[in-house]
Amino acid sequence: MRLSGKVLIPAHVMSKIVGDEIMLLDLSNGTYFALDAIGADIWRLLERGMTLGATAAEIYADYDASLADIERDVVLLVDQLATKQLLEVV
Amino acid sequence: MTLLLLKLGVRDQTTPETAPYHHWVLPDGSLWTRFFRLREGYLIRFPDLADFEVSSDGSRVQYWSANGVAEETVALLFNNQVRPLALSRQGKLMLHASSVALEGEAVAFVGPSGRGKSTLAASFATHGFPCLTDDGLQVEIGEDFATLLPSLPSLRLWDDSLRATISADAPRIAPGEYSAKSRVLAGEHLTFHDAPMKAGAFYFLGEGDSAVATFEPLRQSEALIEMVRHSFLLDVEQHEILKSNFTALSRLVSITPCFRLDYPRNYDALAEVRLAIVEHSRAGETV
Repeated sequence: MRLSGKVLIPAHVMSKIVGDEIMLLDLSNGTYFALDAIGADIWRLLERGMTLGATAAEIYADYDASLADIERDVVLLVDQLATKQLLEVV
Repeated sequence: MTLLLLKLGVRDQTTPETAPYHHWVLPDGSLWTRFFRLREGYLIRFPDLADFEVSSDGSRVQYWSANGVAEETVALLFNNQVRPLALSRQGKLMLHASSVALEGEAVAFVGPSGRGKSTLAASFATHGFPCLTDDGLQVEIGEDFATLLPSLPSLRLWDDSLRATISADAPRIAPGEYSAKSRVLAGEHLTFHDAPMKAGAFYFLGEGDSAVATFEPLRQSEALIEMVRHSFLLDVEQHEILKSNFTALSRLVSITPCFRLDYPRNYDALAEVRLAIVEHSRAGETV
C-alpha cells in the first residue's frame, strides 16, 4: 500500500464520534466497529482527504513514536478497514 | 405517529410465500418467533400462539390468535414484543430495559430476558421509587438530556421474585401460555410513575458474579455497543432506520452516563443493592 494513497469512505459506511473514539456502522450488514482514540485520529485525517503519508506525519506530531512506526500503523489500520470494506484506497 | 391495534379473530398459521428473514430462539434452543416480509409490511409469528402483521411504517398492527389461545397471552405478546418492534419501525428508540423514578430523574436497567430487570424494578416500586416500565422502554432524545417514557402500569414477575419483592397475595393476572410469569398490576403494592422523566443513568446488568453491588463506568463506545445489543429493531435492513437508530444511540450515550452494574442474584441482598443504586445515582456521575 502506497503512502501517497488516499481513502474513500463508501456510502454504506457511517461514522459517529463518541467521546474520544469513533464508531463505524456498516449499513450493508448492520455491523458496528469501534476505533480507539488513535484510530479515531487517523480516521478523521483520512476522512478529510489526507494521504496515508500526510496522516502519519500529522499523527507523528502528536504522539511519542517514530515516524516509521506510525506509518506502519496507519498502513496496517487502513489495510484492516479496507479488508472489511469500511473504506477504499485510491 | 400513534400505533393502531386491530383484532382480526382466530386463524390457522399458514406458511407465507416468502422465507423468514429473521427468527428468535429461546434459551433452550426452541423456536420463539419468526419474522417475514410481506408485500406491505411484516408478519411476526409466534408459533401456535399468534400472528401479528405490522404495516410498513409501523403505525398499524393487526393480529390473529391461534385457536384456543387466551386473549391475555396475545395482549402480553403485543405489549412485550410486538409494540416495541412496531414503534422501532416508526423510528422510535426502544430498549430492553426497565425503569424506575429516583428523586426527580429516572434510571434504566438494561439487559436481556432473565437478567433481573423486572425484579429490580419491583424492588424499587415497593419502596417509594415508582416504576415507569418493566421492559420495552421508549427513550426520547432532547437537546441536553434524554427522556424515559412510561408504559403499562404493571410488572411481569416469576413467582419467587413476586414473593421476594411484593407479596404472594398481591393482585395479579395469571401467567399466559408462553410464560410462567404473573403480571402484577400497579396499585398500593406497587407504585407506578405515569409521566415521562429525565434520564439520570443507564445501568447494564451483569451476570451476577459480584458479591456486592459494583458500578463500572462505560466508555461511550462500550455503552453504544450495549445499547445496540439491547435495542428493539424490526428491520435491520432498512438503512434509514438503522442510521437514525445509530445517530440516536450515539447522542444518547454522549448525554447520559452509562454503567455496568453487577450484584448478587440473591433476594436477601436486594435491599442492599437498592440502597447502593440510590446512593450511586445521588453521587451523580456525569458523562
